[in-house]
Amino acid sequence: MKKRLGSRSLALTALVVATAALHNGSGCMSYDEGLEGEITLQTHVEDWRDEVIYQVLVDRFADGDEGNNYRVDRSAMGKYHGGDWKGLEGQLDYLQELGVTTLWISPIIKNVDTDAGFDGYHGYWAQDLTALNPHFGDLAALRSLVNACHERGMKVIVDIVTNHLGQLFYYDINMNGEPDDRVAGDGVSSTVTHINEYDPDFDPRGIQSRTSLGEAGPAPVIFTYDPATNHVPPQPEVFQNPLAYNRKGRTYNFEDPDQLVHGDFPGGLKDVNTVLCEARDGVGVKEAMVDSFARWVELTDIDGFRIDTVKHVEREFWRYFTQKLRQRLADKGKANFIMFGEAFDGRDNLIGAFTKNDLPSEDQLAWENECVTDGRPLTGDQLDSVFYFSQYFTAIRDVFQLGQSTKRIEDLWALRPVNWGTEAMELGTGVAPSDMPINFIDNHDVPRFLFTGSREGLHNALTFVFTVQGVPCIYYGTEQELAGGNDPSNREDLWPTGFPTDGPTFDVIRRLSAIRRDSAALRRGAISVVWSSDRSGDEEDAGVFAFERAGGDAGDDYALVVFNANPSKDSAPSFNGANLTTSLPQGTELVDVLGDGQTFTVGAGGELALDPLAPQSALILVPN
Amino acid sequence: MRELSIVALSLLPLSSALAQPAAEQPPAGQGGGDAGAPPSGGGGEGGAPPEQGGAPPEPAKPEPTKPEPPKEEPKKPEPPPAVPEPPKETPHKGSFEFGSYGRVIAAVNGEGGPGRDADIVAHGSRMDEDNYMEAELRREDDWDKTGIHTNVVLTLALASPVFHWSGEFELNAAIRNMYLEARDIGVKGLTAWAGSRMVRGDDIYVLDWWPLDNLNLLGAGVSYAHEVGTSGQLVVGATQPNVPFFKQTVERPAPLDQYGSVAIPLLDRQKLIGALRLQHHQKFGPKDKPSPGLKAVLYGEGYALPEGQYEPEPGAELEQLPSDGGFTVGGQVTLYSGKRDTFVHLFARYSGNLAAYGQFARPGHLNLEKTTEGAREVVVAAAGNAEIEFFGVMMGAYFRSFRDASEPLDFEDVDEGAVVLRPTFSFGEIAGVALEGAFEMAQRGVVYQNPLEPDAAPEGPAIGSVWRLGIAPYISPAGRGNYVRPHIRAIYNLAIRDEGSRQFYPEDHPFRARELEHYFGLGAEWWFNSSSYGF
Repeated sequence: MKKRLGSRSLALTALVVATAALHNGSGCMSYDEGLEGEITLQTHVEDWRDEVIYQVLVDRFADGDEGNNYRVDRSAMGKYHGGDWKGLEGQLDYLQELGVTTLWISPIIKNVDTDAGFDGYHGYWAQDLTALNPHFGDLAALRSLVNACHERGMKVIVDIVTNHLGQLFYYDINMNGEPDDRVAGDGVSSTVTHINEYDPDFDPRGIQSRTSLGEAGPAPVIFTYDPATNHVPPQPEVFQNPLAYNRKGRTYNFEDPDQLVHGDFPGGLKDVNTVLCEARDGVGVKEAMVDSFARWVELTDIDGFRIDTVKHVEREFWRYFTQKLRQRLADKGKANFIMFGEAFDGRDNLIGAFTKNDLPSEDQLAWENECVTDGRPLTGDQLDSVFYFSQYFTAIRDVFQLGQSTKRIEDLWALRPVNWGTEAMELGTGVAPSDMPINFIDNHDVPRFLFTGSREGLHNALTFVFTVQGVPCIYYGTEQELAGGNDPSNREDLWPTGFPTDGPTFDVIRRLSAIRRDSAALRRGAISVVWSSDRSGDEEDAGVFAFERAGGDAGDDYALVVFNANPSKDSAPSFNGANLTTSLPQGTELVDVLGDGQTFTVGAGGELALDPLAPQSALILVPN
Repeated sequence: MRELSIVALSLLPLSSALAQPAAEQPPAGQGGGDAGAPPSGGGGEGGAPPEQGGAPPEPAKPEPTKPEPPKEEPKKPEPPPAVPEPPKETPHKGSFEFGSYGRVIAAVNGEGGPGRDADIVAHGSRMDEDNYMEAELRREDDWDKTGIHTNVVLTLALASPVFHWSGEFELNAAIRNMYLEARDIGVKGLTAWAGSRMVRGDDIYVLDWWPLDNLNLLGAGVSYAHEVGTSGQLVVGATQPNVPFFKQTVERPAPLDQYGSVAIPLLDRQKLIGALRLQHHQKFGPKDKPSPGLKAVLYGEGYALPEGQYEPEPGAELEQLPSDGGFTVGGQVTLYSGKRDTFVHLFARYSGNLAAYGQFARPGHLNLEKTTEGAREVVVAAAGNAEIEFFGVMMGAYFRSFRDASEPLDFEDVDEGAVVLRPTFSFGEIAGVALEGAFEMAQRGVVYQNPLEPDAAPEGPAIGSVWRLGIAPYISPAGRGNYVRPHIRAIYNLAIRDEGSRQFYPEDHPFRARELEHYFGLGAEWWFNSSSYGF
């Protein structure tokens, strides 16, 4: 009987096992990326100027895992739509074909889930700096994405925010223990004021409590508790201390330096007091920021940080944060870790200031060094680069969209060696910030180029950011000609396009990426303007702009890029009989690698006579 | 009453079981099961011997009633009544029956609070299960004209809260059976039923679980049992769990230019289920005496779900849900001694796609096409019982691996298992004590940060285990035997959680804080005269 039982049991087991194998198999539970053990940090970048950055709003790029589609509502632009890291990993072929070499992904950490009818799908409402946002996946998924990128020679930059956390507390101004939204004042003896205790107007003294008898001192800070929306005490624990915040209310005048730096970001996002450190102040905000964000590098081997809202952060913080982070990562084998910031501002001197390594006063530096406990005192080093917002306004908007004169671009660039840092940061990228601005035509905070611009203008602007000095950064969906307006309309789902690779703009970016990859001059060369015009409209050379890329770290390579940014008129680099003059010797033959391969020969004195360029077109000329 | 119970069970060769109310169904990924579900004997309710696959005894055929001789002289014929008499009913024998399963317990934990189920797996020790009761009303008839026996079965199931505990005058109730069954339809052994019914095979008593076949559906079935011991049954039916994957009601403007709105069933699809069970009993001894035997079962289920459409948000564009389906294959081998409920069950089951999720659960994590394709569940289980004089031992064990339809590992993906061993000692016929040792282990496909080591790398998968030790002295009015009830009993159970298992609970959950969980209970468990849930 045993024998019979044994044979039947075996047959039964074999049947079940065979079915399981035929269906989907059933292996042991394990992670492909091997969560056990430490990640060995490596340097994956040779020169950041060689990269083509592609900005991904993860929630909107691709949905690769239905399992994390919690609270998804694709009918509303302000809600989660379901994109995730696995979906992004599944489209790496698409991105590689586009020519992308670096992904900049939206913030990865756990956010307030939803607030006032909007979701934290963008990632800028941090709640827990030590946990990942489960809407996008888990550490295995993130690590898998990073590893998959590295295997292809691609890099990953993660977006971080140090200026503020999400709307995690309110100011109990009337001290009734409830978050009120009310109107105060009678309009006769006092001003009628709308007061929202989550987001009250800035008060330089700090938000004051108020009763019917008048002010009553600093308003208590009350952290809300609603686990369903992830309004729970922030992490690390130091952020549960009200002292970790400036508590002055919402910035309404960005020209006021106090409001700019110490005010809550509009929307009730609580401004962190990033001056504080454990060693000097007993509140370890600086240390927590370094520890929290360095940890994600150590867990995933990512290659850089894009840092949000840098102009709203106390300046001294950047010296501490960037230097301590670089040192910590370098000690673990990670070099050339890039950190570039976002200062949404058209003032070149303001945005460039975050890249300068000027030392503060001795007293200031000494005070800052009281936070340093590792024996490595602070220097003037800050960020490796910033987004070139001044160029966005001056060149992309004014010239390529509005058709204004091109002289303004030359003027702007002339200020960069003054306004921006000209020395590479110690343990940084090895490139001076002034040689490596992050160039873009649009992003998630501004309308897409095509919202008001033309396809020809878009292609011309793309040619511009791919050929000027610095690193091109393309906003996801540009290649599919998405055309949304202001936030959140500019954050469309990409997957409905089907990820085609045969569209005209996709093709332009693909070609520009290839041209840039093949040209050391376009990647690493110095830049000199050889033609600009202060004329516009129908004037002779209106819209023409030209520059040479040569020298620098480009060796003998050379490129000449000529634009006609005029939206309606053919223009040539020629004015009153004078033609464009290059630095090339007479007889040099140049070929247009962007267009149809037309060749040109440099004349005497480096003069180059060109036919008028069609509106919104360009030439990329390299030695034939 | 006991005889009737045996007759009913003997006609229904599969062991009985009671199902958990839909409201108690575990979430997707917890198995299709009945965590915390109701009871069953190792093969029989009502104190009957466990289901061992032996050829069921023939039901006692009712003798035809002999006409009695007239006792009086015939009277003069009376004029016909103004109103015709109702037609006389077909002559038959019939009876009303009442059966029940129940367990009720008053329990405290080590802190004096209510005792709670400490399992970390879908099917753990049943010692600390909550209150549950079924009341079965049954009408049985033997129809002389056709020789067919019929049962009309209505089973009312009740679960906590109990009024005397909560003070709430409300009922947590469900109808678990509501069907008509006819047996020996023209051919001896041919049975058919229709209605709402639990259809189940053998269970693992100590885990309170039916690992192979466990259907709750509205439908019909037919079976045939040949006297040589081979039988087959086919069940078809439908279920529509009241969850958005199957059903969505939305508001629309009233038609014909009327005011107001009308609720319409926009998504209205049901699981169509078919199940086939083939079984053979082989006894190794005289059929009319208890003797060893073997039972082998092959089992399969098929699921179909039509396509549908739903509204993601009010007023949003409608989205399509593709058609879906699933299947289950499995089998069972049982050995029994024929003496004192001694047997061993071995089960194996594989479910794919829709069938991998719990029967009433909402398939939570789908694939990108919004179907369950890719989900799968593997179950291997064993159960057994042995009794020698005053000593007995029950056991149950299983391993289960579930993966939802979304490819990456997530919280719903689980590998788990449990082993329960319950020795029992009887003190004469009226009392005894059960000891229980159990081990449960589970791992879930999540990566998490251990709060005890905030600076360490996140861990995954999350793994936890619990040791369970229990003792339950009891009074057994019906006598000795592991499958004999009723019992009035006391229970002490100790759960020892490791650090990993505590992480399964949310912050501030008492089980997250406590390494040791004490459970003291005084209660009762009974079963008698209930229908079997197989047929």
